Amino acid sequence: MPIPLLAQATLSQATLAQATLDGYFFGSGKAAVVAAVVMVILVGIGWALRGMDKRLTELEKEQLEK
Amino acid sequence: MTGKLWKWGGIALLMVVVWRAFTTPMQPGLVASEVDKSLDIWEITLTSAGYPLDFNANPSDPQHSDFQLVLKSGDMNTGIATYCAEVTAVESHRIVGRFTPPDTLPAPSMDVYLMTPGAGSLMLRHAFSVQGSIQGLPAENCALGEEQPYLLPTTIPFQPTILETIRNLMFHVPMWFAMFFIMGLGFVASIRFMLSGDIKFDQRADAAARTGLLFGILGLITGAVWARFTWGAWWVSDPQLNGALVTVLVYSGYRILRASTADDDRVPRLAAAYNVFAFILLVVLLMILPKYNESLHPGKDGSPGFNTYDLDNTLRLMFYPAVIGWGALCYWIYKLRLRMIRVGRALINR
Repeated sequence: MPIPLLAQATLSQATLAQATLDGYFFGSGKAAVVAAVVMVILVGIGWALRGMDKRLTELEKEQLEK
Repeated sequence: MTGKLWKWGGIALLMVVVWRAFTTPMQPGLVASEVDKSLDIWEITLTSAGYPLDFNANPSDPQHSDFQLVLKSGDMNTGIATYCAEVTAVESHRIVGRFTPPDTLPAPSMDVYLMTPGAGSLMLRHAFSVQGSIQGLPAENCALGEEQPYLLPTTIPFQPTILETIRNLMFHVPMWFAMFFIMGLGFVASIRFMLSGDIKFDQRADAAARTGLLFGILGLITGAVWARFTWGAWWVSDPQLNGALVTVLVYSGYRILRASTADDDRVPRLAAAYNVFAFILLVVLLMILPKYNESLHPGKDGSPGFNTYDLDNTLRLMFYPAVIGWGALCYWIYKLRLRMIRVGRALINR
């Protein structure tokens, strides 16, 4: 009796979970490290812009007061 | 609160895009073939990239009968003469097939199709070639197996030349879009300045040109890195690339114009006129001319656009948020630059 398609898919998903993503890009978690570094850079850019934003707000307030 | 929301929303969107772009695996695809014809039984070895091929292979099946390796001439469905090879080994990124040398083959060069249990059909063009002596009618036909369901999790599409670098799509293209958007703002500001003479529009145009220039340079850098991988050179003589460089140089000229005659009252008017022509040039060089010239870029003459078949729904879910995220970041920088210009001018006038 043939295995229904849904059961086949479930079986395959279980096999899939065991499959390792090796190779140049994903080997040893390289991709996650690259993603994390880029995310840190993005947060850094955001932080720097926020700092500039605050400083400019202060300068604008000073000018208004004068 | 709303002001902070879109700024940090843009950064958050970009972080999600970066995480997804770098951690989503690529669909498997065949990248190389090697044929050993030294023995009575010929052996063809195929190398793949992306998701492992053996994820769904049945370990208790030494014949690997769930894989089918077919040599074919012409289109998958309408092409002539299939010739089946027996799959003898399946590893994560390598598959080996063996077959008896045929007496005749329909073409000196044949494509290889690999039907996998779960990852669809993979194809490598001209993966098998022979000297002219065995051309002729097909020696053997074999029936193609049924298409099996695609079982891989979310993957990004496999593109033969681009491969893993397709992830750069989330950086390179949205950066140019952001530049277009901000240069467009500058163009409108320059026109409004010429019509009204209000200095605030001149300041907007100045801030837009500076920010756009930054994103243009980032676009050039990300493009050069991409070109090095896909085309083998940091720079190729391509209408789109040359147009992009000329655009960046033209806007650099705008900066030089402003800096060289800073104390002149005529500068805003001169700069506004220059900016209008610079934007028109940008549209012509980046959007119109490459469309009518042969270009390596997708979407131009001679190469199909990303949207035609490359940009699947997985990529769209990353690409569109990336466009919004880079656009928001670009607008944030523009707003800061504009405020800096205003504060600076106020200090000078004091």
